Amino acid sequence: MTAHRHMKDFGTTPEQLAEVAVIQRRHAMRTPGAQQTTPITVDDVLNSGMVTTPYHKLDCSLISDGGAAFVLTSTEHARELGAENPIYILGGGECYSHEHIFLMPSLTTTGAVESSRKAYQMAGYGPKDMDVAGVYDCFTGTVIMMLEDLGFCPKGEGGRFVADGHMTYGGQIPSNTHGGLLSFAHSGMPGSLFHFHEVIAQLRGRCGERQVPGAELGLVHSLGAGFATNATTILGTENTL
Amino acid sequence: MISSEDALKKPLPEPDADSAGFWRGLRDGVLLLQHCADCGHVQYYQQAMCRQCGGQNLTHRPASGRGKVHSFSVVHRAPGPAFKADLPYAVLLIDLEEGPRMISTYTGGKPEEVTFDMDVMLVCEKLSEDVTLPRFRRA
Repeated sequence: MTAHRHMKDFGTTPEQLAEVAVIQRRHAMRTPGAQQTTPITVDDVLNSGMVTTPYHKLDCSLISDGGAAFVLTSTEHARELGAENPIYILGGGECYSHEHIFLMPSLTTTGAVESSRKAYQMAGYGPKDMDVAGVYDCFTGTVIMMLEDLGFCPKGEGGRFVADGHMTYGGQIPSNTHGGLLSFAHSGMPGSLFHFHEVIAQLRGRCGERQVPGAELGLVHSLGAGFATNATTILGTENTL
Repeated sequence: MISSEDALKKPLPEPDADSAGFWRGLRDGVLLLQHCADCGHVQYYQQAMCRQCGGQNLTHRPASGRGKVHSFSVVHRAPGPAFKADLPYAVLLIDLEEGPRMISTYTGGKPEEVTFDMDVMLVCEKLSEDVTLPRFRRA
């Protein structure tokens, strides 16, 4: 219903939604361990069977088993452990906006505006500074709304932003370069940990052929409970401190 | 985990202290909204406090039943076996005339008819002696 209202208010199209799935599938094809690696087209998404309008099967994230982990410690301890290229948490922000979807202040603008504002402020960096992002992607429309709310493009232009190639390599903010929940895996609670894992790996320069060249600053955004809980984290290399 | 036997049954409302009056109202054919005597706020979500000012002087008044569709989704794949027979059906977010937004489903027509900003009217659908659901038809 959020994506549907976004289409009504801003002219976002089913093809633009589908483009998110196509791009992320292309990303997953270069990620070892990704669950879905067969290339897909916009037509494949539109013909994959309606689940609930406007979402087709391939607009929806996967059902997976899996887990992810990272080590969180102090700079000093990381040094003692001899960690190579440790990645720093530069900022974080949260926003909790409603209990039920019928209490959501707006169906098309989320608490990601507030959570990212806090995170950018703490980090001392803004959306234009980010080199790579992990954006919660339970459905394709979620990604479009999040790219807007995180400040990567103006409200209402997320569909065009994606269709113009700005969420992939060579665009403004390569996002979900591992394939995300739509193509890499969605194993429930660890879902966003995969986004952390990927952005951290990108910043450490360990992504091989899917590496975003020279990535120094990254953002991870998680949400849950029907857009109610939003959390943004800004990560950076030692150069960004 | 839900048992496969239970999955065949639709979940039904379980009234609590906050919502018992609301569900009783539906059994009598009215949708009760909470009106705050302190600040004038009107709310659909049943609770002991006003969501706007925190006041506790809330009184129930029947809604007109008129509203507009703010958004909707037509479900083609059931969330569980209990809903398969209903497919396709439209889930609605309705802006009530009195202000609050509520969630419901479309009745009395094909889901394909539903459009944004469509005028709708409350239908109290009796499921049992205890449970009546608020649904909406085209006005």
